[in-house]
Amino acid sequence: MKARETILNRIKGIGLASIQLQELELKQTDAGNYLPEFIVSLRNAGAEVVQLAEHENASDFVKENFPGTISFESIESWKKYGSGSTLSMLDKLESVFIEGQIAVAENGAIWVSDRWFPNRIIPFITRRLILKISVNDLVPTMHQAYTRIDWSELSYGVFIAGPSKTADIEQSLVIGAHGPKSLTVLI
Amino acid sequence: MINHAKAAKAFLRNEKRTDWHDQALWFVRQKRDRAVNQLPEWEQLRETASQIKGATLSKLAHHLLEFERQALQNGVYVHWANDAEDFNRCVLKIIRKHNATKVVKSKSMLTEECHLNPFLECEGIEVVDTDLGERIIQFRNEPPSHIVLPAIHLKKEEIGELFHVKLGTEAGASDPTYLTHAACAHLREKFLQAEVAITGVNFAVAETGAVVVCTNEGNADMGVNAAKVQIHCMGIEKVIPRTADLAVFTRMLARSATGQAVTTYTSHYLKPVPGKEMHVIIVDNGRTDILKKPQFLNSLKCIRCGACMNTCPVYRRSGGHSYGSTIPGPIGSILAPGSDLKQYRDLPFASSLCGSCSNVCPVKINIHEQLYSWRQEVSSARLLRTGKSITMSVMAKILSNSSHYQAVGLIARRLLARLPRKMIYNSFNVWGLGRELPEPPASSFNQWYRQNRKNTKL
Repeated sequence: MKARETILNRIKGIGLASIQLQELELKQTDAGNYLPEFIVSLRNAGAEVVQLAEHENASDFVKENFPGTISFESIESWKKYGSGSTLSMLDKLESVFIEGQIAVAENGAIWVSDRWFPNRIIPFITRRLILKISVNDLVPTMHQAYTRIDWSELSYGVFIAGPSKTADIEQSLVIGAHGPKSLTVLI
Repeated sequence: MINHAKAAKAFLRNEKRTDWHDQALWFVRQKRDRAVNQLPEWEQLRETASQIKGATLSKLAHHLLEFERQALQNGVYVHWANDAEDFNRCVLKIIRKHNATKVVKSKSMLTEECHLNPFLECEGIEVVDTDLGERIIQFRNEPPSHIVLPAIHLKKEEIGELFHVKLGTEAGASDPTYLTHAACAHLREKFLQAEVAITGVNFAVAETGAVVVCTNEGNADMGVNAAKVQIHCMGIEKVIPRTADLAVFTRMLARSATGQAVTTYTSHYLKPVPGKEMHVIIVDNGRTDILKKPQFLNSLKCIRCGACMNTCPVYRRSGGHSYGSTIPGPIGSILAPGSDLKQYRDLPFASSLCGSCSNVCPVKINIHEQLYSWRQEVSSARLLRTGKSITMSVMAKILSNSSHYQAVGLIARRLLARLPRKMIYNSFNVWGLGRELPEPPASSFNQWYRQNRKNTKL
């Protein structure tokens, strides 16, 4: 506790004149069509984009096109990959399907929180990640996205924009670092 | 004491390599420009970001306490550390509490600053840096040369050789994709074995107690979510008041750093998983000393994007290691003298004062003005290099008296025109070592004016 008091007293001792925090002027949110911008952002971030027609069911699409994909709609898979799982078991995950909650047109980021999958490591440890997002959950920028998150209930959440990547060797972009090597977004 | 010019000279010996380094960073600067120009409100965002940081710093204790209160409510352990030693011991104590010996770490300039790795290694703990660039330099046992691109000073062939020795990749292989995947396979084993995960902190939100970490590789989340214990290390300046402020900074950070619209992962840690532990360590280590100095406190607004390095003509041509400080480049050159003026007296001079750093800074730190102010601090502390201080006092005598000035001007014009080159360009003429002196004019401006404006009274 000593360091705490020392640091706080040091700061208070400086006695800086207080500067008022200004209210943020948000860009006006009109009910525009952000879909084209979102798709461009996703592609820039290295994601694959699939636009489903209104009558198409995302789960069926995943079952058909990405056989063996694990989704967390059933209690069994929730149990198997949640409390009953080990890291070595999770490490074998090849393909995972998760529902995204909010999507940002400006940068392709999709919000997921651990209320929608049973173990926080799942979206990272899997080789392929498939995210579903509804056009109704599309917002223009991070400003609107952050106002939509329910912080009172949240313990862990992440914006994901594309598959994991690095350019640490000579600035050459390599898709697939520690997280998934591919991200597919179903809209 | 750091001798920047000498270290830069060594870096410049390989001209081809210097050009490559220069171009690689300029490429990042250009990507940044394209990303920034996509947002018409960019300048408004910079102004807002700077305002938020300024207001936060002015009531720092209040915001830190609010953050602590929220974090405690979330079931997080909050620790405070005065200095590097305090901080290192705090980390060790948490590790010891869990009898852990295997630690993974994602990027954190603060742990570099406090030399956490060597400290823990001495205590028999294995610390593995998991950011690819950080792992490369950890293998090489050297510090990062850039805060966002830690291994930007290395060629892929060198990394290939290194990985051949350390990871058993094929001899002579230098394909970045092959090398990256080999390193990731090696690091995945480390993730799965690690008992404790350490991360830096990009933003700590007072309103919710959220710790926000941004990565492209996903290494922070792999580490934190695999380990039993997570430790997040933050300087006192990392706190921001509101969730809404996050939107401003997450829109700017990656655009400024690498020219991406946002980092691949922007992770928000609020509460630990039941049965696991989450710790946050709040560190001063000299930051309150900077906060005391009105002309320098804006440097605490820094969000560590590295844009000032990528644009700096001196950094690009001298390399990060030439600065000899944890954080190199323009921002490092205004932070380091605050921690040890004597040790880093050279750094404020490692700049042409062109101002490009200030222009690209997303939080509008007046970097080049602070560099200039630090030069004055170095001078008034009598820490200028001998050659420079003698030259300065001689020049002050000449420039403060018009008859001295005119006399010296006359001598200089005559001598420069007549003396052999060897007499002018020698080790005493430091300016002339890398530069040509101007052609001496036939007459001074004063003489010219008298001749050409005979009717005007001077």
